[in-house]
Amino acid sequence: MTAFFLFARIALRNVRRNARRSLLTISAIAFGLLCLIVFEALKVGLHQEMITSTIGLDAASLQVQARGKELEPALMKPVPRTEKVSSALRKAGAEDFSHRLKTPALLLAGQKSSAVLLSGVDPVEEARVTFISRKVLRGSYLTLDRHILLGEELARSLGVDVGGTVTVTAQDSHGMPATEKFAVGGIYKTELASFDSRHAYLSLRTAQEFLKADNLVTEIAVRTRADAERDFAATLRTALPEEDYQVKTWEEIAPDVKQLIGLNDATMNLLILIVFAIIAMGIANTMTMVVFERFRELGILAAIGTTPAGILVMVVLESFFLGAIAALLGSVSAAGVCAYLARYGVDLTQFTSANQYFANSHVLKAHLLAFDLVIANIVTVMTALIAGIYPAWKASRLKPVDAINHL
Amino acid sequence: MKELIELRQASRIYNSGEQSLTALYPVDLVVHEGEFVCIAGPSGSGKTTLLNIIGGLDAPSAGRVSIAGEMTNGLSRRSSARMRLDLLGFVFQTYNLIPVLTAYENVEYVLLLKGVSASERKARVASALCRVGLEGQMNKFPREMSGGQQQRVAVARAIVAAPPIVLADEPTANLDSSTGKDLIDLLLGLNSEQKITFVFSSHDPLIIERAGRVITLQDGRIVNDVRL
Repeated sequence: MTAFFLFARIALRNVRRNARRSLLTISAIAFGLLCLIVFEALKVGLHQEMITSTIGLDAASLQVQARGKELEPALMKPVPRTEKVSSALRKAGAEDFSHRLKTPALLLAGQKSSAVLLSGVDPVEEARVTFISRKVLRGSYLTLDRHILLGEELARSLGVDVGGTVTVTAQDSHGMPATEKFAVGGIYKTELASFDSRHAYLSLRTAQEFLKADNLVTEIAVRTRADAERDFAATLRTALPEEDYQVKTWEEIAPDVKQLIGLNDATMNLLILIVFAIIAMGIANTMTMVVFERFRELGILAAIGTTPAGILVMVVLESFFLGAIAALLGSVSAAGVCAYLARYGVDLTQFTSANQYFANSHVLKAHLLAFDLVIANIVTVMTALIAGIYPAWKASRLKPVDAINHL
Repeated sequence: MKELIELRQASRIYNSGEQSLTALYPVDLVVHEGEFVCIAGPSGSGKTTLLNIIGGLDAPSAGRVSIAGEMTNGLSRRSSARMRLDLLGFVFQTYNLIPVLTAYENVEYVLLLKGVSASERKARVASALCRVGLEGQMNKFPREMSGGQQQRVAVARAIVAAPPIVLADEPTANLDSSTGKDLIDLLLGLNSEQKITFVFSSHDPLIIERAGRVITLQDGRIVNDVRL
């Protein structure tokens, strides 16, 4: 056994020496770490839910549009040469993409009316890109031509249900008014009533006929693997002429989501900093007390030949063990809590029923990343080490004669 | 005989603000190999200060200190620790032992610092503990031993690395007279068998009279230096 392992043995036994104090210190650190890990996992789950809701509701992972579409939102600006886009998508490896024709419209039923965004979608394609198809409450999801799919809130405001009829008025592709009656084929309901009240769907073919927009689409929505949208967009941008097309990821379509995620991350980072500062102060306080109580013992160690470096290592190791034990305890506890929250989640309906970021579900589930767990442990142990350095340095600087005579 | 300890005009003055206290006036002292020296004197006479300076635990304010021919004042903390490890053994009045180590581990400690091999450590620790009569107490912690037994473990630790010099500061002060006498007998035996040079302090006349040489201090000065 080398001197280092001897110091480690002494340090570990010293942790047990004042069991109550060590337990208090370890418990405090472990609890702080547990909270941090759980908050981080909930934050990851929150961001996942926000992104899922944003992508799955309507934005998709990215969209291909005609260049300058957002500059004239009221104008139906079709995507030029959609077959070129489809070919580029397949070449890039995309399997799930949906052609859409969107236009503002007015729905009338009896004496009631409502302004909506009317979307013509291929039901098979669209089902692979958004989750609207899985939110159908009554009727069917665009299985019948010339049938309209309404949000529950919209249907309620118009006073119609499956089997009823609504009159749809919009501007066709030539800029002329188009009006037609459609039977209500289905009612859907997301977790976001405000979305349901503003969105209505026809099959793409029906919409193209209604709007005299043969084979025209205003956007092609693409679903990619998680976190792959940026690379995919970059690939598409090189494949499609910039003067005709624009490729927008969900982050560009919904910058508020991206900003909110960034804000959450920044807030969390600040919280992490504060918690670790508190952990560091706790350990430094404990180790300062430890050194103070053992002045004479440290003086004896120096007297019998322990170098200042040896004393420093001994004290730092004790600090390390405190941190390591706390990290282990905190991590195991946090993993258990996260496992529970990953399965059952936290129902936030009371707080998120009108929140667009929870259109898919109001149950917030934790998602613990292995990376986050490892980093949390490393940072905890490093914090313990660093916090122990100053008391250890003071201990190593003790003059043996002063330490031995310390009362 | 070889000169192991040499002090030339070594003194120690403590300064506290504008006040200064002379704990040890300039002394000249030589201790030869194999001597059994007692530094006697009343409390506050400078016994501990003299021992601390000899042991490199404190630096003299002036003068020169040599151990085994090597000058020891002016050494860095690291070098001073190394010097103590190589040349000196220590027995203190109290709190000698590391509480979280067993008797065996306490004695083994200095050998580990010196990098002695495992097999040799085992043999030497067993021998040292046997020599002080504690072969049956190896696995006990200090809190499980009497004061006398703890001092014996401290003696075992002090001699296990075979240093030429052992310094002991009032080693019997916290022991009853019988146990103190036994401890001094042990030290005398080691001095006789292994030729270890002992320098210890005491104010107990019964202990002082057992020494081969008595250096008496009073008010920081050597007032008497007698070989008995």
